[in-house]
Amino acid sequence: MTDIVEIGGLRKVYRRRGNEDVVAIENLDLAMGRPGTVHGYLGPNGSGKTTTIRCLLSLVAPTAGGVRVFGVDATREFHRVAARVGAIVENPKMFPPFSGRRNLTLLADLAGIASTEVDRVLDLVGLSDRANDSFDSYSLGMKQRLAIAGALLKNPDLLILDEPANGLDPAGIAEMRVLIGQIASEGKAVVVSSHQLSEIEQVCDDVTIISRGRLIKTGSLAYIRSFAGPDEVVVTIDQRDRAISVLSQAGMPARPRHEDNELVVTVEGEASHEVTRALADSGLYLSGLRVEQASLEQAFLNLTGGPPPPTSPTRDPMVSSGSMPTGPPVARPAPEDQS
Amino acid sequence: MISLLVAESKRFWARRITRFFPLIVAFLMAGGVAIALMVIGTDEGPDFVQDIGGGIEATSILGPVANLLPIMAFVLGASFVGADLKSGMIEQILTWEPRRFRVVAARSVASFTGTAVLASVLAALLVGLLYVLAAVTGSIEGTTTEFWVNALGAVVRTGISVGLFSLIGLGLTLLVNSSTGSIVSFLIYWFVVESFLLSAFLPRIWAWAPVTNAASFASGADVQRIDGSPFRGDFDIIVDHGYLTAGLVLGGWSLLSLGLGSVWFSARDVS
Repeated sequence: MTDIVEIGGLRKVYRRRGNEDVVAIENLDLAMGRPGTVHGYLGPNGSGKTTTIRCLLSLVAPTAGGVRVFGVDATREFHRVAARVGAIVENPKMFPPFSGRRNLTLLADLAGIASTEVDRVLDLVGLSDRANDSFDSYSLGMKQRLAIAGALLKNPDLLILDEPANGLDPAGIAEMRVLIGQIASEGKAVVVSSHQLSEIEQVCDDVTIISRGRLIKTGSLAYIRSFAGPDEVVVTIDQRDRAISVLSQAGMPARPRHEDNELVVTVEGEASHEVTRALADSGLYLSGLRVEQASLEQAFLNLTGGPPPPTSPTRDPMVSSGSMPTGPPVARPAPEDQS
Repeated sequence: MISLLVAESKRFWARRITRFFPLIVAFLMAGGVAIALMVIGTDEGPDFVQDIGGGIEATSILGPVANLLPIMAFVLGASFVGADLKSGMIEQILTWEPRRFRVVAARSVASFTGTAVLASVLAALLVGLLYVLAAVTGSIEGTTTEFWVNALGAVVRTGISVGLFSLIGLGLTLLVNSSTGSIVSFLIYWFVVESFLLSAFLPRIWAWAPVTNAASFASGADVQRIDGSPFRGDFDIIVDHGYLTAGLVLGGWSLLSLGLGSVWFSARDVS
């Protein structure tokens, strides 16, 4: 499968009278958006994610380079593929005094789409009950859902969502993940831009990280995660200090954790049985064991050298990540990793 | 393009300001006539054909109300695109129709036809109200078929001139990227620059100004200007050009504003 979006030598400089020019994107080469997959486009605030998307949608003219979407030069002829691309950029934007339904009907009228489609997408995002309320009476989460409904109206082959989890409560974020998974499972390509890495991690197949307008890494989620370091095994055991000694002698470095009776062993997740064997051979029996997978967030921090985020652990317990809804799995070949 | 035009027309008519502004103008017109009916005694009122048809007395009472039409048109045109720019909805729309000239063209057609229809209805209402005023307080003798044809022409020309004003508002808003900025600029221009400075000090230029020519085209009267120096008491009032030329001049201003606004809007980043 080929990538729908091909970015070559993209550069965007915002000229500011009286101030220094701002280089939003610097020589970006990137391909993303394969049918049936979700591509996470990640970077800190101000890294150039939204500018890239604006260039892709022909809202902003590149200073140099270009973007091809479905093989068409999007900077000049985006109208040829606009019907196949659904997008929300940054905050949800609709006419405040109009109802959700009227806003969507206006968009549907632009492309001659039947009003039944409006009802379908309103139902899809769970806004049917509030469809006739004015947009400015909606919560941020509802506005976000309405904007997504607008993007889905075209039944696009490529869906671009810029920070879709902004303003959503935890339940809304979970619903968003399910929705994104569903869309991808229908064979659509989804590109999700975000700085909320833990959310992206649960739904993406491929990941691109940019920082200060430059490409840092791109590839499969597993490839990007590999930059976070090895997985860790957390063991709960009564004789913690003795266990640390035993494991160290067995070549598995371990360190105590602040929680009572917990210690952390740095090994590959698949080698967790070696931990239990080493402890049992010394007459030590653990009361708990879990593998904490190296997170995208840690990989991101390692790659960008950015500061640690204020919330969420840098490692995701596999138990908890496995319990979150992520939509049906999508079969696809492993992508070529790039850097 | 047809879908775009339909969508923009629907949006124009769905806007609250499209419904309320004309209602306010209609209310002020009716209020003006109601006051005139109370103030003017029976048999002291205007002759519908001579006075109102000639544009004196009764229209001087209602003149300020009639002036609301170009303001209404400018505000409707400016806010039609200003609402998009302010809400950011323009981004959403451009992901559906990225050809910006088409978007501006559809908006221009929707704005022109919408405001022209509204202004024509309001102008017809004004004529009807003045007819009632004359019938109750003055005279309606001489309302021949020819008179009504001329009155209908004035109503249609009012609609066209007001529609063209909405295009000036639309174009200027695209140029300055703010409906508030363009409306304030327009009001300052009208009441300070055109009505005072140009009219008093540069009458030759004033004769080619947009509001002057809009009034001339709508009323069917020639554009007259001062020739000489009113400050020395040495001047004449002369005809500069006729009302059809005035209509073309107003059309030129509209195209200029719309053209500059469209080119700027098409060239700039939307973010």
